[in-house]
Amino acid sequence: MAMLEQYLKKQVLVLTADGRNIIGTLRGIDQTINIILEKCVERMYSDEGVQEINLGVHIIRGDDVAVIGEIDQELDKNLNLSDIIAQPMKPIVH
Amino acid sequence: MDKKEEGTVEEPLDLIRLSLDERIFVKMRQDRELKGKLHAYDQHLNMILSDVEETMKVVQIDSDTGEEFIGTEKRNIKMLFVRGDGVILISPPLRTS
Amino acid sequence: MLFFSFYKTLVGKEITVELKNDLSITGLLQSVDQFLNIKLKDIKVNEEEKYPYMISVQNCFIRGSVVRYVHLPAGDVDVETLQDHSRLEAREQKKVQQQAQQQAQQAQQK
Repeated sequence: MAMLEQYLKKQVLVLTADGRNIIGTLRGIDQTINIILEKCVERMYSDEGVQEINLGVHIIRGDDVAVIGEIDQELDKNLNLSDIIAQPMKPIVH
Repeated sequence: MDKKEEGTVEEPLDLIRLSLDERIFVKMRQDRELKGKLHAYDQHLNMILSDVEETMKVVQIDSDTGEEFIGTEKRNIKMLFVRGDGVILISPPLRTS
Repeated sequence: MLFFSFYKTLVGKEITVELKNDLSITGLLQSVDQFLNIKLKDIKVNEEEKYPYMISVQNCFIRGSVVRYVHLPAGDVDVETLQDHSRLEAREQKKVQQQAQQQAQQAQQK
């Protein structure tokens, strides 16, 4: 998909419809926004800071994709994940 | 031909066309309501409204008793695009006066 | 088509996209497609302390179907033109409908 080509091979953050935050390298995309993510890490938000869980390769169905964001490596390096206290993201309610 | 097109209401969307440049009421999913002036719409009921007042029902907690009750929250938005898939109903302006 | 064309006139302008999970993202409109998918740059999430999920993101793609509202810059919206285009598109839409009906009737008669 033309609109997403600029994010290919880059590290992206995917916000899913059910409220999950997944970071990975964008390996593939199609017309329906199905995506292939490599080296996935899920960031889980809670009262005790952010927890990261390795997930490997993920194929996410287009319908479940809400937002795809390009990770700025500099900004991300400076994050102190254990200090970020927030509730988990709410799911998309249609 | 043109006259007929502009004046008559044969289907629901005609009623919306006649509401262009008028203030309408829109009921949205998740207990949201909008009032605003209609400037654009399409067959999906995507719309652009101006001088919008949004009213939202929210669960609040009484600070004294700790009881939950349903309150309303309001906000004003100058110019707003509304995605049609969230629209439940549209009510054209009252023409009684 | 109407809203796709409209959004193209707003490229480069600042808009706030409110999602169906209450997240509001403000940024410069970079591009839009026929499904009203939106690309923003230089983004900021409103109430960032409460919603810190996108702190290290500057550019993003938003799927059109997860959008609830878009807050528009009022000064850049020409309401007269929008209303004219809405009427025009309604007329076009009706023509297409009538043609389809006629074709269906003709097919039945055969």
